[in-house]
Amino acid sequence: MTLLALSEIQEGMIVANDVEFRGQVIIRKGVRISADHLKKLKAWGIVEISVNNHNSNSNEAISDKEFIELARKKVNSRFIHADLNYAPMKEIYKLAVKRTAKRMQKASK
Amino acid sequence: MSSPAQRLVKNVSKIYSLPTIYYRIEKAIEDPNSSLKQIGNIILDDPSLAARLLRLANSAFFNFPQKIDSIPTALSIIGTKQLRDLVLASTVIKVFKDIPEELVNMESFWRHSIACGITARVIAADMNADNIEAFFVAGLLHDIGALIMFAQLSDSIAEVMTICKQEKQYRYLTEKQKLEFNHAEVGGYLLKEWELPEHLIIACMRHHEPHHARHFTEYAAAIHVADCFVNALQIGSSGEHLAPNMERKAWRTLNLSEKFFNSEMQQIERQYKEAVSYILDD
Repeated sequence: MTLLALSEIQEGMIVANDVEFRGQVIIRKGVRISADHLKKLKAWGIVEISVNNHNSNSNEAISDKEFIELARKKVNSRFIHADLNYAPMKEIYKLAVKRTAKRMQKASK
Repeated sequence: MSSPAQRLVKNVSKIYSLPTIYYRIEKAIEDPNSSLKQIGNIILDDPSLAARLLRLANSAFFNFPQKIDSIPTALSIIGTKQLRDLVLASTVIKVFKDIPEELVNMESFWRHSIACGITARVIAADMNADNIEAFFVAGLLHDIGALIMFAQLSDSIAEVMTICKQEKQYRYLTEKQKLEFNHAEVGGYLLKEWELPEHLIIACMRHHEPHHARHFTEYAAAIHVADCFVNALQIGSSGEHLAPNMERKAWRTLNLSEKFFNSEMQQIERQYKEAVSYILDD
């Protein structure tokens, strides 16, 4: 859980604690922040909220895809002699891309 | 007349020899008069080996419900031939402890070999093979010829590896072009020199071309497919930079489902971690 200033809050992050405004819960714990939420938070003058650290927010989801693309390029250069029309080889290829993406993601952190 | 690969192995067979304990166990197992206790006593001659075998017997490698607290119990539950193969797996690494590391990172090399052994072991379990540890050892030993070449022919191998990168070619083919033999043959001859069983020799010698295996085709096929998988996923490295292409006939020999690796991935990773800590952490 991290306490972030509103300027750092992005769409897709998960709220870690109920967000209250004048004694009323306006966003429940566990809710994914939308563009609409961001507008309202600004309007209500809320300056900071707690969000989960390890979530699959939409920003990370996009970079997940990017990592897969990068991994695919890397793996392709090693699979130049492999017959990807053969189903078992294709299966191994997919696992290799997944694993490479995971490694690249880990290394980037 | 012997081939250059055979001569290379003959020249180094004094340097790279198996510890005698393996042969003593082998002899005792082959002798119908020896008891589990007698075989156990040979293992107990090397207390650190005995302790490690017990640790392995009680690990997630086997998942036995009951605790195995003595070597004779381990022998009776795991099996004498299986335990002999695990002795081989536990002692072979030390034979190559002095290989210069300019061309190969030994940790990475053994990680590749262990991963290949574990993958072959999981394949063998799926096939209901008699002795899955034999597949483990076959995978562990499959690239051993490369170590002899790194140590004895370092200049030529450095050149081979440069050509591989430039021409985007497999190492075993480049070795053959440049030296007229490859690491699979050297490994096979070394295992022959060690008087190891035929299935290990064939698996090693044919792991790049399993269709050439006339006997023990399931061993050659399993190691070929496992090597293909492990290289493709880059679990450790033996120095091959390209993903091998899988022979369709080898895959058919094993009769695995198309999704085999997808469904066994976790199992392979779990056993791999176990084996790495057993073999590499000393």
